[in-house]
Amino acid sequence: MTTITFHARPVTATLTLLAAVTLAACGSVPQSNVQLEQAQRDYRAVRSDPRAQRNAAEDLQRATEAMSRANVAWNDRASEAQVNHLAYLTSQRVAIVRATVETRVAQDTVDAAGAQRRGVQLDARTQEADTARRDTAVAERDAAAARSASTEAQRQTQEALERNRQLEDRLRVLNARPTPRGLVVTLGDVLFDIDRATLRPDGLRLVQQLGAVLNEFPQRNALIEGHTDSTGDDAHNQTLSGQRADAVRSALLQQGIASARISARGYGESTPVGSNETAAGRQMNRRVEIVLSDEKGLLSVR
Amino acid sequence: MHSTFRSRLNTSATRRQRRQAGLAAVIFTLLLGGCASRPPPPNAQITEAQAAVDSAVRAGAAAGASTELAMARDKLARANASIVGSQHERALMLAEAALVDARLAEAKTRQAQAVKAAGVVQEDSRVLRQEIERGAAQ
Repeated sequence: MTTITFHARPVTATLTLLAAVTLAACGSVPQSNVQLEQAQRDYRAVRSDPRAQRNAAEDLQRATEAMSRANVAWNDRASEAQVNHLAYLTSQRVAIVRATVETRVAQDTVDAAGAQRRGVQLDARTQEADTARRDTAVAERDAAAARSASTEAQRQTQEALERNRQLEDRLRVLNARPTPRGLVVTLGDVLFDIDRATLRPDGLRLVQQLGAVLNEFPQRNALIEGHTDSTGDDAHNQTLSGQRADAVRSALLQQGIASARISARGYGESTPVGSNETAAGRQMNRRVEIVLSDEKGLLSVR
Repeated sequence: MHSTFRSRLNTSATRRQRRQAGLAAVIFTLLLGGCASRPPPPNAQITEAQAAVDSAVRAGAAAGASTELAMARDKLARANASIVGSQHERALMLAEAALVDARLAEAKTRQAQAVKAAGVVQEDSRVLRQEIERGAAQ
């Protein structure tokens, strides 16, 4: 046993020396580490962010582990390089947490925008549907109005035709004939005194009948045209035709027809309807024609 | 024969030699364990870091977080070089740093992509709203 004790003393001394050297080799023990303190600040900041807990729990857990490792290394007086290294890992883990949080925030925005977009599209579709309904209603109303207008137009046309028919009936006794210019009533030469502008009683009666019709159809106007045959002086014929037309006009005015509705004009021998070579033709040419206007009061002047 | 063996072992000279050899081994171990312990090569950490870099690249980090990706690749390369040079502790630190750099590169890339997407949908939404309001006004 003494032998052992004798040998143990230098060994103990050697160990003590070695321990001292080892501690010295592991470096001086600094009072603080800048990088670790920075990592601790970073970590505390992200730790207090509720979004990190909520949206980046896994990354936050990694950051917590890294922080713990770094703190343990510091408390265990690990090398500065080791502490710096672990502080770096912590800071990077904290940065990952921040990026994940920001990613989640942006994704929420995308989702919200998607929902908003769907809402907007829904609004738009509703609006379109409303517009379409309105348009349909308007179109239906227009169509009904058009149908109604069409019916009204048809009715009016039928009424006009009916009135025309009635007029023709009434004028039949006056021997009215339809022409391209309208209904024409002809007063023959025999209804006037010879070579004069005075209506005979038969002629006056015809004119009175015509006046009654004009009173009955107030929208119709009349153009009275005087004509002669080619016998005699042109100027005389012109004058006579005009006077006979005026005579008819006066007779109508006397029946209370508004003067604006009746115009009169002499054409002399310019527009014969028969041959001036025969007596029958000349008689046909000596005449007064009363042209009735259409329902709008329009006349086509010769 | 048994007694002969024991008597040979129990000679004080042999005992002293053995004891000294044992103490030397303990001292040597303590020396190594003090500061300069020799950890095994951090192959697992390097593999993990490489996978993280690959993942970041797939996520588009080359465009989205090129600085972080470059840092991760640089550290990974140096970690591999340190293993070749048998500097295992250094290799471990570099591999760990490369891992977090690569993870950060991927996280930042996804953040940039999400922020961009958010901007696009917000703009789309604004345009859509405007069109509808214009349509309604007509």
